[in-house]
Amino acid sequence: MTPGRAGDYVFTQEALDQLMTQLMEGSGQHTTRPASQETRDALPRHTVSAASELRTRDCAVCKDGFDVGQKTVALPCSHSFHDECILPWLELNGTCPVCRTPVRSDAADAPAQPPPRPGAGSGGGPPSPRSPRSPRSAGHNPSQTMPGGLGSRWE
Amino acid sequence: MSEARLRRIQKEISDCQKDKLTRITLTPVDNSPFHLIGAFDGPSGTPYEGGRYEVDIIVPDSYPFQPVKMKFVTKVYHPNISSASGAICLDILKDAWSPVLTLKSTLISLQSLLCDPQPNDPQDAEVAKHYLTSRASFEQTARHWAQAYAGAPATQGDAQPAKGVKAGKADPVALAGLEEKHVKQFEDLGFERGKIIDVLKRFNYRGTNVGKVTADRVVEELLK
Repeated sequence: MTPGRAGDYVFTQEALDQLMTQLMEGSGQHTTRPASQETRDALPRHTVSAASELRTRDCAVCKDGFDVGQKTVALPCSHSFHDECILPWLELNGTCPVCRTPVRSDAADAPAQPPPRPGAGSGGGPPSPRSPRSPRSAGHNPSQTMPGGLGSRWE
Repeated sequence: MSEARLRRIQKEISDCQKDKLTRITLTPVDNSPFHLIGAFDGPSGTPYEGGRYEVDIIVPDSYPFQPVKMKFVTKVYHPNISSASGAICLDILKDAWSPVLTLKSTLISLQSLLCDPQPNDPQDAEVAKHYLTSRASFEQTARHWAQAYAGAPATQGDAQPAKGVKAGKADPVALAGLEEKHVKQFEDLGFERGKIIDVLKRFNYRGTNVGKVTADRVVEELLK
């Protein structure tokens, strides 16, 4: 606990809620970290071709399909996204939006969050586009997008 | 991304309309797709069963990179939901948010939060104390709230049928999870009812805890 200051006291439930929300949001900034510029730049880019397997899936961030000619980024866990969908997220939080595997390729990025529990998502497998767990099933199956599938709910 | 944000939200709203199974609805407020009221059923097997719960939803400019803002409009008696403001303590609404989550999946998470209270990480400390110390009394109060505010029907299993609820107005003593005889005891000493309810709530004057708080201590607090 940090020492109290004058004005730290709250008298109503509403004010207490606000204070608790502030504290919770403040603590959140310490648990998630962005991926560094170097890490983001090093991620493999692809362009969707007519034969691309991604054409049968949707991007888990924007929920739109992958069209021929669109640029995509593949994360080390093998989940792929539109570049404009994943890069803004990685600037805020250096983890895969689907399986929460930390995205990092250099020492500059400290671990953002504890690694996912075994079986909690598709783990950080080798970057293969033919991974048995497709981003589509992971992004669209409600059980996988539930908090239980994304890590501990009450950290 | 602002165009993508609108497209995604419209898609989410239409997906919800098509899905009749989950009974989750999204209704735009003032015709804005970025301010919505979500609603879902209280989960069966919980004190919230039979109730319908409404949640105010604000979609921020940076959605889906920032979490949606949600709070209960319907009053809920639950350790992780403020009984006063409806504010919600759930990690995916804060630092555990992910852009793959949707309005529907987040509302389903709120539904499962009702099944699975986390009293050690409370939003409402008084409710959490009630939950931890006298579970049966907590559940009865949560049921009272479901009947009074969420439209749940009165259940046969209630030890004390929600009498005030039937008359259309809930009994403040039952809603506070207190017993009439305890309130009456201090009312007879000349104290005002509303104040007694406030103080007894704060002291968690329920179940076995009643024996731990002396009448003198309560009177002392009432005199403040």
